[in-house]
Amino acid sequence: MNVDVLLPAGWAAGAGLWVGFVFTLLIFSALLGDHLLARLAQYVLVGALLGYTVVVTWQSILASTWVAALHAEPWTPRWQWAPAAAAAILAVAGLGRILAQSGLRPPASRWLEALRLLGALPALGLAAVAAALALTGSIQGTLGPQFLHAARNGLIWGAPWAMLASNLVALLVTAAALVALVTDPAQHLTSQPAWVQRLLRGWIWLGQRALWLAAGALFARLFASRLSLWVAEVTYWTQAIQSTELGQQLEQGWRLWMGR
Amino acid sequence: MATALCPHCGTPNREGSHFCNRCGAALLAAPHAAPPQQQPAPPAAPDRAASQPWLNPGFVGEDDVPLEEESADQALLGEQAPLPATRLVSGLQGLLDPIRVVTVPQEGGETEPSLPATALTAEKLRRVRSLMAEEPLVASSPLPVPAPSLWLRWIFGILAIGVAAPLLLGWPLPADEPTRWTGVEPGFDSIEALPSGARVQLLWAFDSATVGEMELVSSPVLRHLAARRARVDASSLLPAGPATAQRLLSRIDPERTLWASPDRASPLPSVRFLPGGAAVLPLLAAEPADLAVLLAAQAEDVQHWLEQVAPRNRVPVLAVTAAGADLPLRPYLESGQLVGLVSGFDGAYQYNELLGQPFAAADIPLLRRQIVGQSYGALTLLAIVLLGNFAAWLAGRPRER
Amino acid sequence: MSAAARTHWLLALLFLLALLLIGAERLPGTPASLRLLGFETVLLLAGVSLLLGVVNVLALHLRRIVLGQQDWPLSLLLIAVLIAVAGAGLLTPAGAASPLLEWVFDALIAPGQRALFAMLVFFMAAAAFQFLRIGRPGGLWMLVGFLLLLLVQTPLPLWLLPQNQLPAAASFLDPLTNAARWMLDVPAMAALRGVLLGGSLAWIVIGARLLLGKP
Repeated sequence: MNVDVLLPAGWAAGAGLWVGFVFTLLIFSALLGDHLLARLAQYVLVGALLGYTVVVTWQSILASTWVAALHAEPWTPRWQWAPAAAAAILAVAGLGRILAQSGLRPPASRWLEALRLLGALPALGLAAVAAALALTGSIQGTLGPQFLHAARNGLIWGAPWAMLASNLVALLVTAAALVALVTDPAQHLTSQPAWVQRLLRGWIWLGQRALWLAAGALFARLFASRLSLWVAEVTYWTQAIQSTELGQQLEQGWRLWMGR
Repeated sequence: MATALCPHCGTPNREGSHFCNRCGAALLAAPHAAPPQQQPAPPAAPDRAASQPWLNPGFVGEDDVPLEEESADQALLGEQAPLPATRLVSGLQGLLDPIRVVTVPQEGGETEPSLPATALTAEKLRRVRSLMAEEPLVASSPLPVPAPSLWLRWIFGILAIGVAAPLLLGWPLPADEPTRWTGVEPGFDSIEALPSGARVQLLWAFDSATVGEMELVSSPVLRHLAARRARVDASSLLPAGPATAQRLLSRIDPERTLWASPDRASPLPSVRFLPGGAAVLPLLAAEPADLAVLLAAQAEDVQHWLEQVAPRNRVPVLAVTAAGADLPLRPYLESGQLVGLVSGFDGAYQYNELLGQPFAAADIPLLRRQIVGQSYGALTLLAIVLLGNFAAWLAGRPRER
Repeated sequence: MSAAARTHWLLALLFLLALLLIGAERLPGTPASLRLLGFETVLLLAGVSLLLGVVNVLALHLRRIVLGQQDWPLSLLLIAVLIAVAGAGLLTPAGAASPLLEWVFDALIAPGQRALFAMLVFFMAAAAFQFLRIGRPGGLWMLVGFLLLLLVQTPLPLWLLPQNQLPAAASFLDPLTNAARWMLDVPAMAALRGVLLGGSLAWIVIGARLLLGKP
């Protein structure tokens, strides 16, 4: 079935521009407060995005990679059925779970219960693989290299004194920030000797200030990032509307009004 | 304890109850039943109460336990929050089966705490019933959303005008050029050093949400890759990533000549979608490459690549990111895990300069407007921060340091 | 053993298995096809999970409609749009590349996403108004970090001053900018490295808890 006939090519692009513009205004109108039109635009956006995600996921993963491969050669690569079976079990068990949560629980049966338990396996397996990858990845990609770099750079004794001082400050502050992040003074320091407490409190004080300083800098850079999006948005719509007939008339009127 | 039978469903209710706990029918007109020792309850009722604790009037469900100990209105009414039971009511006065939306493991076994039923009045009962008919709460109780204050709208207005007015009215460019960050030049060199036809892995980790900024910074890098005749293998972890890529690549190369090479069938590199986030990234480590270029709006995407792919295939990585992702990634640049870092409008400006060719015609107005917008935006934000400090000083009640 | 405890222990077991598999995957003798199969299975399961997530949203909004909760007509609209877009894409062989889906992307999805993200700058300005204050906890330090980066990123003083005062201003500002760069390159960078290390350590703790069956 070809649903593209629903979209007349003649006016689709022009209409799309104005639909997009009105839609943008509706989304931006949320800045004036919560109201029906802004919510309407948000619901439409979520609906369209989810529908689009379904299509892309089906098209790029499920249909092209697996369904097509298994359909073309159903028996040759037998081991390929294992992931497909796991996915099917996950899908059926997941649907059952969603139905149950919606209050539309299917009639209880031993088969359904067994399927539900079986469905937990791929779901938990996925979670376990993600957690294991995150753990091993953070050790080999962040903890190891960053720790080694901090330690090596902080302890280059033959370096010029200015660089040595900077490196030592960096090492001290790195450790201080780490201590400030992982230590709760009320819980961890009370049983320590007074001099340890004083030393650690000083270190935590330093780490906390360094973290605040970094947060302020991060905020400024993040603001620049989001500001870029706002500037790009103003630029895009100015140029897009200027290219339309109505836009050109508006521009002429504007120039007349401004005396240019 | 004296009970009152419901005239509608026959369930025994506490004496003085205004409504039936089960069906909600009015009880005031119903005759009072004798105490239980004289007239026992129907046999089904105790079983139901035991197996369906959500029918108990004091039931709130463990997941409905508010994060705060006592809400303000409860405190005002002098009420105590009912103790949580072990299961959660799904709604409709407990007529639907209970479900667990989130499970909070309870220490000390699975016994149900007994509820102080005698402390419940008709008004409380009605409140409990209305609570039970509501959607189960996953997190804390909904807090009242504060209405936008006068200041908030003023701030929005000041910023909108502070940035849009210079853009629309064509205010002048600042005298100085954008700053130069370390990382752009080594990044440029890493592409420049590629042999013709080198394999490049491209991670397209942005979609239309951030294309406004990422277009600026990605365009010169993509143009550079095309000039080096790189063979690009591109993937995206976002559903809208491939469509965004296709549009941006078409804008950069409308004539479809930039990427043309004898061994390439498609005029533009195609981008495939991979769901699953960081968990599927190791798949990409199997493919041979001379350089990995990550076009990422978020620092996390680059971090995930450095954790999942780079240790496996040992391919040098160049990160091309939004300005907001710049600082969190600098430690990776310092440690040598990134060969280059190009970020934000200023990184785009610097990279364009390094390309040594005249800026692309489409990029000039975009970059010019970005520099104008950034400068006036920064100035406006400074004014807003100043205003905030002034307002706090004026209010005369600075908070504790 | 309760159902929750069973789930926790099963997760711990699978986590251990996944750790072993990831370790084995790095060994030189592991067949490439086995490695590929493992990660492609993850890819497939992730795709199915994504679709289940969409179905869950559908069910949630259907329930809102059935119960007649607040904004139920908007839920109805969401479902209608979702089904229309998904249906249009699945019914055409071109899928997401069909003209109708491309139109939906260009007219609704792209402008909507762009606007939502561009709007964030206003909330960031409101946050700056509220939090970059000297009297707040850490406010002074955050303000200093913010101003330092602004000084490096956007040389406003040079831009705002008249041309004839630029050389004098530059000689005053250059050391200041260098100091700001040092603050960003050394202490702020070190703090961010501390955050990265802290995040990795947190993963180790989470992993240990999983292995002990206490996620």
